[in-house]
Amino acid sequence: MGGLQTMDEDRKLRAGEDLFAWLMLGFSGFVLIQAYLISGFSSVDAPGTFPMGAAAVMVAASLSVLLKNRRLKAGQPITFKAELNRAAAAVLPRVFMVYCAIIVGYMLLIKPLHFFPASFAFLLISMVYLKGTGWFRSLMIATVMLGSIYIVFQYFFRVVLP
Amino acid sequence: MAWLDPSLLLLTAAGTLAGIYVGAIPGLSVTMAVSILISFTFSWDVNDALALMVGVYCGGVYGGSRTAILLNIPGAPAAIATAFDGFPLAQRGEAGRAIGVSTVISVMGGFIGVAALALAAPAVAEFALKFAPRDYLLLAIMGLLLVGSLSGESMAKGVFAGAFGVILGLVGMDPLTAEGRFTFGTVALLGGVHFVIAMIGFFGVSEALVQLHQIGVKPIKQDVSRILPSWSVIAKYIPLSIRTSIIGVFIGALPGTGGDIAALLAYDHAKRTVKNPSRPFGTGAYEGLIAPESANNAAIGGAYVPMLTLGIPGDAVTAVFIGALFIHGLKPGPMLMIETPHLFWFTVGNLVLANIFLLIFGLTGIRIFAKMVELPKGILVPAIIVLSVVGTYAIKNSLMDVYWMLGFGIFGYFLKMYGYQVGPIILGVILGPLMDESYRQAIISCRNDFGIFMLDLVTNPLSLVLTVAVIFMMINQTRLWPFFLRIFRRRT
Repeated sequence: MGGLQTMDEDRKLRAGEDLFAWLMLGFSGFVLIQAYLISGFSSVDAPGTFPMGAAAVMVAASLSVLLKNRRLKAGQPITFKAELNRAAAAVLPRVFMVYCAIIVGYMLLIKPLHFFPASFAFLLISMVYLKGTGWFRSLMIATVMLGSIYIVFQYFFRVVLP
Repeated sequence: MAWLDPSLLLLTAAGTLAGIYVGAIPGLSVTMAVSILISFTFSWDVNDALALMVGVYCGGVYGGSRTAILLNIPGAPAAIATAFDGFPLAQRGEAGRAIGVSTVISVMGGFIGVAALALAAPAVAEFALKFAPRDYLLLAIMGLLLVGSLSGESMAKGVFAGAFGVILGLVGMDPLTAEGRFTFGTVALLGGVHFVIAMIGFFGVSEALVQLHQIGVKPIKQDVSRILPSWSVIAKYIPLSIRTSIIGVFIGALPGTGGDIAALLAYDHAKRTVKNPSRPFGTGAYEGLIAPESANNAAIGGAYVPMLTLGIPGDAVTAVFIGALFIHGLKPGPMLMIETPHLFWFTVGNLVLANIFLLIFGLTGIRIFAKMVELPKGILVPAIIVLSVVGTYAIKNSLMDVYWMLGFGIFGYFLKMYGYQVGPIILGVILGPLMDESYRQAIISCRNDFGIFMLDLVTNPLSLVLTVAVIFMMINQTRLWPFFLRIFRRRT
């Protein structure tokens, strides 16, 4: 892997990038173990042979990423906690966290409320929260959008919606 | 000349128009639309039914590029590669021009596909039949080597994403032994992860989440003043379009491979062969848009070749077409061309018409489509999420799939934030199962002897050509390549 062409040798390491690379290495190791558990090294045509090969490639690629990160690391040593805070600020901003919570809430409400009421509430809340538009225009856009979905998916294509 | 009948003309036109919009909506696949149409056209005359379905097929394959360019959500699997450079073009405000160019080029690719169908149908089909499982494996490896072109800032990250995609594609019941793989003992995972779910999650939802970082940024005004590209622009790209159309025809003619793989291989071809692209690939190069668009439409003509001459489907849609022909009392295969040659020529004529209608309908309505990307992010992001939910649920009517899609979207967000490209994941999801199956079929045919398998790769002429091509492509991605080039130049 080390011999492969790369384009990122001159850039700086992103906040939390090293941490993420370690996480991906752990994940790859887990996948490799799971692949081994399918059929072990029983034969070359066993159901687990090919997955094991793919998982091994994941592990090798993760190690290569980590090695590259070592070369990219900034000179200043940084504590784990400080790195975690830097990463959180960069990839987990408030708007992302709140919006993810809104999406998860929407997905969980689809079943009890059914698709159209849940989607209507989601669109309305989202558009207002993300400052896409005001309450009245949000109401209009949500109605038009869900009306179009109803006509295309349910009326023409008879797709069952949750 | 039955296809010039006014009512059939109208049906082809209606089918093409409907196909463009069906193809543009993620979750509504062309296969699904054609399957539904079969139930409508049961009692129709076979010509009427075929005219409508051919229109939907051509329109649908093209339509997938619209949302790929505008929203980075490929409307159809065949438009995955279109998003790589199409979406960056929309981000630069060139959505109108991008759709205009992709329309004209798609039609050109479509015509080349039809010409191949008309001229070389029997010969191409016969050649495609010679492919053994090991050759499919080599073909899939070739496709997977595209990872090198899609890796972005780091090849290692691209390889990681590609391998992860392969693993994702292998989740579920093993097709040969019915053993569960990566199912963690749950029944829900036995059916595997549908690649469209991964596609919507990794492309659509992750992009919507990344957009949250630019929620206050004013959307770029799309230039739709010049939709119709000038002749000089088109003429410049004709050689590339012809080359990638040929790739499309050939891949389309191989049973089991369709427009999606054709488009990915064509993109890779463009990236390797175009020395001075209009912009670097992945940042809005027109060459990166033209190559997959020519190939996926040319693959339609290619897919018809094994269907009409051998009765073997070239892709999922032609498999449904075979069912439709059976319903109408026809048996696709070598005898179809002998007993009902008029049907063959009717289909060829229909495909020509569908491509003409594609040009007309494709170049109209772009302004409305382009307005979509000019919407504030605060409206666009929730709309993408709802559309992704509908598209995912429509596949298997399962809320579990919707949760998976969200999971892929969130994971894709983190990957993107740390410079991992999501394109290789989709590549792995599509090609992984094909590689696994082909590898095991090939090794079983060698009585589990790995030595014989390796020997077959170099003793069979077709396999040898493909093996050499794979080795060449592999070396091309390493630092050894400039070294070899220097030696070659010194010798010549």
